[in-house]
Amino acid sequence: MPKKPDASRGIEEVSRYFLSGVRRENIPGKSMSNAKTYTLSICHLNSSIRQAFFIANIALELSRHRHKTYVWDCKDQPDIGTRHMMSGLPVSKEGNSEYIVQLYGLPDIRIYTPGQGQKVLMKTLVDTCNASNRDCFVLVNDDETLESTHNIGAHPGYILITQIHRMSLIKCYAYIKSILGIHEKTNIFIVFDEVREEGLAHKTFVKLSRFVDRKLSFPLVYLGCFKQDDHMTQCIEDRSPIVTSNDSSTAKGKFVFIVKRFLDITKTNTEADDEQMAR
Amino acid sequence: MTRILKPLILSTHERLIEIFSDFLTNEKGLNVLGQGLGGKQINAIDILATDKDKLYITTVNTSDFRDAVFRSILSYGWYKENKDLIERLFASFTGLDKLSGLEPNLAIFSATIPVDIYSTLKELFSVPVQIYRYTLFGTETSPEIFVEEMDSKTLPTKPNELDTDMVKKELGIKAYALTDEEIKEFLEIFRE
Repeated sequence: MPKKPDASRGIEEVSRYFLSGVRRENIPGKSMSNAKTYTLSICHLNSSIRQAFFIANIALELSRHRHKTYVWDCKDQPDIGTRHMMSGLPVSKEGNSEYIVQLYGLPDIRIYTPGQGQKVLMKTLVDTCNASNRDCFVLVNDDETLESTHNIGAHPGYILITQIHRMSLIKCYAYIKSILGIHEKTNIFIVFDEVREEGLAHKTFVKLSRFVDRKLSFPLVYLGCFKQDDHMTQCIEDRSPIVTSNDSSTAKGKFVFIVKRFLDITKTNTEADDEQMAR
Repeated sequence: MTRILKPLILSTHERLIEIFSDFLTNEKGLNVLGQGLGGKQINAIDILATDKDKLYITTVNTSDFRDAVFRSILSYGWYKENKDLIERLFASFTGLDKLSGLEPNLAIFSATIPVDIYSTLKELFSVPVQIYRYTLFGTETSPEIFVEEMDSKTLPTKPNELDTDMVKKELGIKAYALTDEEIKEFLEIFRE
């Protein structure tokens, strides 16, 4: 009779995997025949610093869900790159342009900071992820051109983060139109930042999605909104991730919520795609 | 727009107060209770007028609009401090038992009105504000005054928001090929 697995990890397992010298990559983890690589370009339309902050926190949350996560950081500059937003976490440098955020008991996050003219290398990263047998997320800290993901041979998704005043919203619409001009098949997720009240954010999304549906025949997906939050502002100033902070705040809860929602939607879409392929 | 054609000489602020008192009485049907309240030195409320529901604390501005807003705030403060006195003085004229039952409103007459000020004031004040723009033509001895009641629709809005080229330039989105019609339609939908 085969031995039943224990309900929780015993000390032997924990010590072998996490306290010994065994590299975490070598831990026999989830091996999936239909593993996929999800490339996700994340763009904050109002602030580069907030963009890096959002990417850092989303990467950490994805890792918390046991997903292998990479960050392709085209905007790495002193003080505003994604790696600079990981203050308080162990970040080590490997090679000239690779940084590893080592998370105890969770998959590491690898951050690549390509120099000028190295954007083409991103395809190599995506191909490597595709060849592995694990679900991988490649988050892109892209510049305003959104060109990094143009030639990767796959359809990336986008998270557009915007404030809800008119000029930001029309910029958001311009981005959506630009994205759809390049990728016919994609998912665009909307997040509103620094809103006064959630009801207003929801109403704004309804108006925006109706307009986009009418003009571009494309359905947007709403992930959620962030209210103005002192704790979040402090974390951005300190360049430290909010999802690993000890203090509880609404913004921290929101990150947990939107990443969970994003993963649920992605899972549903993937299952639907697989079902369609099987037919 | 109302054109005031009475022969008048525009020499003083007091004269303008008289003209706009006439305007409020004849054109708006209000009951003007008093002018220049608080005396010449304080000049706390330029015109105090009322209808059956509202009390209008009116400021007549002859300089920058910022002064008008500041004086209007001071007028309201003076009204609150001297509510009892005002009530004793004027309640009998209005035919109402009490003035305190009336909703106080601020009114400002001004020649210059900054863009988007209506929405800003609306957001800033819990007391409703009415704005009248007056335009002076002619000379000091032979003037003509036009008074226009402003509301959110007639108040000027930022011109560059309607200029689609300026919008594109500001957003740096020329490359994304938004059409002028799209921009106009979008901005119209998201107008507050």
